[in-house]
Amino acid sequence: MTPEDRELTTIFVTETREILDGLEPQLASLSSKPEAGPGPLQSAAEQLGLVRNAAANVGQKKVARLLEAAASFLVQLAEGAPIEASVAQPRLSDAIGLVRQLLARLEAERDDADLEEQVEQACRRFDAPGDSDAPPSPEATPLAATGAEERAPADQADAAPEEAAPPPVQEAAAPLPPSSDLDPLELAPQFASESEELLAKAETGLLAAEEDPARASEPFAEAFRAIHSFKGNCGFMGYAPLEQVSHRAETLLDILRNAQQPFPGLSPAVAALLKALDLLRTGLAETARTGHCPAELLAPGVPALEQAIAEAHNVGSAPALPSGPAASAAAQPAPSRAEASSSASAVEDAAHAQAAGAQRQDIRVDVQKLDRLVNLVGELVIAEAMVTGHPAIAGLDEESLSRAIHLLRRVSLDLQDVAMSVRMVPLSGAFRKLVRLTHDLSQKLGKKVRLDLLGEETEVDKSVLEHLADPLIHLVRNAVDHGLERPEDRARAGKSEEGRVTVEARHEGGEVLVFVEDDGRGLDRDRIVAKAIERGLLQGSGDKLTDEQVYALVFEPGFSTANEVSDISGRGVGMDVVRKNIQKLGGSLELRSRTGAGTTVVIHIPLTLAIIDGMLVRVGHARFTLPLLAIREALRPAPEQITVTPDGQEVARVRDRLIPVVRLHEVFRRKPDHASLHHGILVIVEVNGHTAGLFADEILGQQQAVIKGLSGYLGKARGVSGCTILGDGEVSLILDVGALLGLAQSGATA
Amino acid sequence: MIEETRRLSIDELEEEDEDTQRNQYLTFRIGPEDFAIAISAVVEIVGIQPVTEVPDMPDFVRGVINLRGRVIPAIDVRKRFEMTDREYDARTCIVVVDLGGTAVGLIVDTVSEVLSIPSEAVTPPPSVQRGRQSRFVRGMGRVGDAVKILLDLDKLLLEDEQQSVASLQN
Repeated sequence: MTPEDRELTTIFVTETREILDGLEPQLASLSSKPEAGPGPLQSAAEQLGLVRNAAANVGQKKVARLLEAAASFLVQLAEGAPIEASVAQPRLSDAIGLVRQLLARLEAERDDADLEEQVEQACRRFDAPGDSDAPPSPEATPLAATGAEERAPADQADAAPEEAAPPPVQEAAAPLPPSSDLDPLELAPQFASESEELLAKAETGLLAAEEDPARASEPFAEAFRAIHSFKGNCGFMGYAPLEQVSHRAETLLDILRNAQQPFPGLSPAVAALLKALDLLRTGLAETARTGHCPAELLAPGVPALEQAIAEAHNVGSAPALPSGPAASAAAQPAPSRAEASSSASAVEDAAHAQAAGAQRQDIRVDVQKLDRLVNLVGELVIAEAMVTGHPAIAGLDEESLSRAIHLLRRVSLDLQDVAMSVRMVPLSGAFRKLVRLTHDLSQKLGKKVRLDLLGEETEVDKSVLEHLADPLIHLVRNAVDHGLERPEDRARAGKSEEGRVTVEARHEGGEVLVFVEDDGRGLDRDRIVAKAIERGLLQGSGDKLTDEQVYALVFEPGFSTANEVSDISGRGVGMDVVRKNIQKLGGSLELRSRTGAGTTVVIHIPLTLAIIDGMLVRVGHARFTLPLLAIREALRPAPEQITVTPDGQEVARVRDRLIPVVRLHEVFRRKPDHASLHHGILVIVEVNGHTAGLFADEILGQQQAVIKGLSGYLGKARGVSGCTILGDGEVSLILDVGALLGLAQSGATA
Repeated sequence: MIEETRRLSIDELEEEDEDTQRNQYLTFRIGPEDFAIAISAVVEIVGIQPVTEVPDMPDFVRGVINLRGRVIPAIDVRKRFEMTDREYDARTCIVVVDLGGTAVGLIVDTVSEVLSIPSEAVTPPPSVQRGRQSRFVRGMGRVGDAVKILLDLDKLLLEDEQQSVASLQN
């Protein structure tokens, strides 16, 4: 079995089992409620028909044969055939038992020819009249092996080639009664997410192939495998339009991957395939939403593919191409073997086989369940702190107890780590989109671009990833559109014509850093200043500003320096949106640039949105949590450091900086211990280059805070981003430093 | 007229009650009066515990409490009825109710008992009544000689001032 077939087979076995598991109880209740009418029978028949299609798809003739017989038997029943439930039921359950047996063989990759006779017998029993059945005893089916002896040789001869050269796909082209009107909405979302991955894989392969035409066959083969699996899934689900388009794409890919030398006319073929992928995505989205995929949605992709296939044939560099879809799938092991003489693809094949052999086991879990798990673990950690920190226990001087406490603490921290890691996903999902984006942009703009992705495997919390994808796209778009010069300008500047964009992710001290770097012209300080003055974002000449401060202007709303408005990078709604999105994640942005040498945007994002390092401060009786990331320093100001402006705003002079003071007790209307600044403490916070000093009574300490949202019932509270539970069980509000800075700037602290 | 209203209240009860809980009410006391809410809405009852104030809330929203790791808002029913404040004491309770999936704690003077009030014993609220609390009354339940005031939770938790808060959600 080739890796892609093995993959398909595994999917098939799993999904078939799931469906059978669901069906069996229904069938078992046939006899108990005959009054249920034909509805359930009909739907059971449809589900069996669906599985039967899938079985045919993966070349499991015996399974298909059995299921077909069972399905039509059910249809007969539904139409009111005079068959006693007591007769019908054992027939069905025997058949299903047999299907399970076949699946087990298939999974173990063991020959199942000896079961042939049982299959035949079970099928014949379905055709038998309803009243006189062979004794409906359990022995009727599994023990049919006696009968098998007479026919076994012939059967084996029949079955053996079937194993070796699997899926004759035509069978799928002539499906059983339309399976698509079985409620597909249930499976559709899972189908869509799986398929999404496959399409992404195919896209990666295509782009890699185009990148390096000399060694295109491997990535093409990769893409072929993905599309092959995708097509199989579509067939399984009965989405004919998707299946048809992906089938054509598969045919084209098959030609491409088997091309002996670099393929002339590669670009149009790849373009057609990319377009087809886009259409398939659209179709997928539609399918996930409605459970159906209208054929006309996908129609536009077909002509281009057909044409590309025809051209590919004409080029003639492809080996004699098997004509039908069936042949293309069936013949596929052979050419890839031939090709395997190159050691690289042999290694790759082996790797695939190994991967399949290792049987990585994934299960799909509802995200809500995961969240609940993470919440519970968070609570456990809190409860543990409450117990171990309890005065009654803390006062005990018992070595064995403190050892036990130590152990408990370690285990619960480990547990927390594991729970958090469950939600972690690699960044590659967001990164992969950039490859296609860069490809499209470079064609559209006529710039040569090379995109390097580093650190794709870096993991972040799922929710972080979701919010990171758009800003990344925006930044890369900006880099290609505005950052990189046209090829001729680059040549003139003594750079290679091909521009480079590097996207790199790495962990650094509890944060993830993502760099988006280009080697383009860099930011033009003078133009930014001029623009900022023009837009009223800046007063004066701006000469005194540091480069950093100037670059930060780019993030202000309504700022854009591109001379011409291009349809790619928009009209100045770029960077401020990026910044907003990153801030929503609790992250920040940093811009570095050297004129003529390029620009780097550094995104700082927290590993997770669920836990922050917090600093606990006290204001009167209230205890507030401040995110440690925002804190620069804390100090008790001397009276002479404080100045009060005429409008009443207090300003603290810290070294050579003037920092506005926000009195937390005024914002939150608490009665503080200290009213004068030099008796309390100023916590200096900074977000996006804005600074303020938050005035509190004292700092209580530092701790990890599991973030909880304020109840939806309460809506939004000013200056509060959420809350957390302290070691003693009380709730502490987590302050929204950004919002407090806003208060400081508007001066409305009261 | 009365007949019609009665039927309405029965319908309402049927909507939210399972069979065993039908006509079952949790009663609690605020000042001199006994109030009752449908038991099906009650999640649990906990003793009074530290409440963390949240800024920018209407004054009857006392803040949030930690319910075994969940942070839920706590409403002071006294304040909601615009009655005079009273120190929380050992008998003060928080009745946690479920409002369409959102847990909310009601701070009450003391919890009394669970009662069965058949729908025949429920009369609509008197049409002439002064005082703010009448807005939240769904009916009057007669239990022997005593009268329990049946509260409409939705109105109690969501009406008026709360609407402005609710509109801030999302």
